[in-house]
Amino acid sequence: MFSACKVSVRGSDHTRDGADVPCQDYADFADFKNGTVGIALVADGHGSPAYFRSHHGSKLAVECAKGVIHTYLNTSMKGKSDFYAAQLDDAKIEASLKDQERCILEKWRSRVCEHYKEHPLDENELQHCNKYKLPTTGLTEDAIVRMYGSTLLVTVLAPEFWFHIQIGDGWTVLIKKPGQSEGIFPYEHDQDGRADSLCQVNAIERFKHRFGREKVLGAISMTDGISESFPQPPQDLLYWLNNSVLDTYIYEFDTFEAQLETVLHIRAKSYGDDCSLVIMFDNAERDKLRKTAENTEQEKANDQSSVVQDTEKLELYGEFTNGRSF
Amino acid sequence: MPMEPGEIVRRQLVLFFLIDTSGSMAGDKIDAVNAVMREIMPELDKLSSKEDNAASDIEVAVLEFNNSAEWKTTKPIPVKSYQWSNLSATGGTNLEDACRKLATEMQRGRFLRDHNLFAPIMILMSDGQPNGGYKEGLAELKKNPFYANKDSKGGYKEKSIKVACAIGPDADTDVLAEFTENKELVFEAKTIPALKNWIKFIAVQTTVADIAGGGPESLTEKLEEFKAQEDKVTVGSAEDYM
Repeated sequence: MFSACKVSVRGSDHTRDGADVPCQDYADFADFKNGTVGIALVADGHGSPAYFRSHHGSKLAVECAKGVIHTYLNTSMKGKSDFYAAQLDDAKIEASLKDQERCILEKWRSRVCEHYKEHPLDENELQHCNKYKLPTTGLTEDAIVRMYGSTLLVTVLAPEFWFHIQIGDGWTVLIKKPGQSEGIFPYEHDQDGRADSLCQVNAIERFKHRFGREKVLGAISMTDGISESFPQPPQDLLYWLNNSVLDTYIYEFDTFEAQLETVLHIRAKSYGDDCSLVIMFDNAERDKLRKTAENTEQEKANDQSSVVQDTEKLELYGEFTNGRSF
Repeated sequence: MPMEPGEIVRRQLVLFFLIDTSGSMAGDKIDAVNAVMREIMPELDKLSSKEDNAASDIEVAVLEFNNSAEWKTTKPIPVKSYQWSNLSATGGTNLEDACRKLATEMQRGRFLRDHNLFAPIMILMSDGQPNGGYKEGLAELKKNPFYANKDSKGGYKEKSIKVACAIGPDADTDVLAEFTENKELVFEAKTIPALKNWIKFIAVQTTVADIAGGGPESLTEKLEEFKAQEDKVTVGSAEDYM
């Protein structure tokens, strides 16, 4: 069973110079079959003026992806707990991942167009378009979805396999052992300043994915507001994830969300970009680690107590041998 | 133990100073520039460490131009460690070469970092007419993505800031306005004290505006107030006029 936590925080750039731009990230998690499968989702709506509805775009991306993944998992069940996916050959898995990407993209475009139809440009948006010389009439579908431009990262962890689908920047790590997380894709800065996006005309070609058959304990997925705010990613980022984030999640679970929110507020204020993070981790493994830590603490306390007792005995012995009691 | 926030990257803000060091700048004008440039570094350093500001590394790059343009800094230097070395004035006013050299270096991986930048600030000071042409160099500069605000990674709605100072009566304000793309961002310094005040004012105010994300628009009102103030001060001090 997986448990999960998500936090999104608005970047300080969104309120600079009197601006009031909403947080354009969206993060969520879901489970399947009573938590035996965990799904982490994050999306980062683009910040430039042309993408002024990207906060809706990121939310719709997460919702659409969640729906598509659930449908896929439902149809790939064999019996009560086995998944066809674990037994498929690589070519079929590849085809299935591409199919999910296509479904997510089609659904997202369709939901975006519905949203636009239900919510035509209001006065503020028209003024915004006027200011930035953006078209407002006779818009094609491509022009409409551009307003909602967003990235998307989806990670699915099942008992016998995992897979990850991504378009655009952001980073996801898998936790294979406690304190040892590694990126699903190698870390890369966005070199040309333009993240791939669901709103691109050739978006279907810009998706990337990975599939694995090994068991992993958890995953952490984040938008680039977090990863790019570290001076030397991925080294310092991984160190933070392994030592601060994961440790707090395992050993201080009850206060984890509040602590993460505080920390992300500090980063978002200083760096300026929205920050979102989703973590999911195997509950049984978390309990085991906590139990081990508790036992270790207990052993230490016992050792300490026996050292104190031995010292007292030695002091007593010293008193006798030194003859001071006489 | 509470969760550590981790180290946070600092964003680079570069002030590009383009300083005319042609022969006509010799004497009081270049002396004033040298004196004030030395004074403003600690002021800028204070802004770098101000708590309200986003974590920023404020750096300075200086390009002098006379018969040709030459960088006085091989890369932008943090204001904290900048040791100003005096400029001397001789030769012509090759603005064309200055524009070209700025266009070449004001790029990611050159004078600007690959990541985590504020939009750059360009401050041009000149007291004369450019020798020869300047249009081709300026056209080249206008293609630079930071000059043209077409670099998508500058941050949310970031705009570079371009200001200019016309030093004395012979400066060509029209040419400077072509550089700033806005007449309101050109200041005419009629006196040496006004020149000094403008450099101090503009270095600090452009930095504040840039970090706050206001861009050039947020600067014009303050510049108007500054101009009005300077007009009051300079009236009646005829000996100071250049």
